[in-house]
Amino acid sequence: MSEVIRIKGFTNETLDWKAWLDVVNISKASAEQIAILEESHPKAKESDYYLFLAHQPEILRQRSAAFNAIMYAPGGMPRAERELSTAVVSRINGCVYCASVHAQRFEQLAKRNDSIKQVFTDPHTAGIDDREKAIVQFSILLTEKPDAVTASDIQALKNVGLNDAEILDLIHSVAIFAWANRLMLNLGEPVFPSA
Amino acid sequence: MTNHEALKQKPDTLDRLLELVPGSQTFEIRHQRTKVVDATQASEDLLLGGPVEGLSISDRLLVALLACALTPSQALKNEYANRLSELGVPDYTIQSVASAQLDQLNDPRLKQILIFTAALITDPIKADKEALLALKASGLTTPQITALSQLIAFVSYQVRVYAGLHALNALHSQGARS
Repeated sequence: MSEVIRIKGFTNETLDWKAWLDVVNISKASAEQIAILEESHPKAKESDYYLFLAHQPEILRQRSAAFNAIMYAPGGMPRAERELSTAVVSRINGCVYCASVHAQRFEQLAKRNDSIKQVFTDPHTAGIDDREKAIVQFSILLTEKPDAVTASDIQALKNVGLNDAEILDLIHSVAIFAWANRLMLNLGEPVFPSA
Repeated sequence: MTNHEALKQKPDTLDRLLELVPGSQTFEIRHQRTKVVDATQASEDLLLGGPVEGLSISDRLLVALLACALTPSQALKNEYANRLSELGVPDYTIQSVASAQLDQLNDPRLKQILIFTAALITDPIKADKEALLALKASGLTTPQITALSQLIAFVSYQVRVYAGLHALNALHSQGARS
């Protein structure tokens, strides 16, 4: 990470996250819990978040299958744009932890951080070009007013060059962060690096 | 037969509600992301049909119903209301939850669960530590709270996948100018 961004309570710094309730003790975890943690995330066994979700291992397994397929599958919408949309959703929902993680991923993939600064400053006007702006606007609309999304909102994405496969990936990315943000927000809190 | 092949024969919840059929543009695009389709339905099956000790299926469907009523998502709200009806849950209870009239519920534990649901759906920041501890105080175990949080978060996801696909399908039906 080249430059630390801190805007309106959001950051691209590496944060920790602490659960508010008891997490699964890894030394007492079942073989099934260990297997599901390992397939969820490379560092899941050291993460309060995954150790909390491991209280319901089968549910975690399906959540991780959906999450990983949406965020990492090849083809479709470029991964940097998926990260941008999830940073927007996290900014709108107020999930500082998720926003920090996906700000970093965007920067790693896109090799720039200008869009993230814009998202943190004012998501409603963010985007460095028409394509990014359209992705951002759709992400906000589907997050805030899913029942108001119409064919014309899809057409707006097509007008800036997105094809159907990319639009599907965008819908999935926005939706999976409705899921992810709510878990991160209601089960614990971010821990900032000590000054 | 893989899960996905089975799904192609019997439509999953989203295909059924959106009336997406094999061969249609929206169906074919959606099913290019097989793993997402499968994990979405598997999550619904676990969260709303699987065994979760201490959280009955009807209580979980009431959570999903309230989540859809508040989002709002008319199609999924109707779906979950119908499932509750089929389980024999009284219309009075279904109507109270569908209209977010939680004061009319007698069961204090269910009421606490639904208050938490409403907070997490409408303003996720409000579903904070205090809200979580209130849930614990109402008698829920940590594994039950894990399942409940996953359920509410999942429905937030499902209604948005539905809404996005619905709009995409509407554009396809108009004949896309792409």
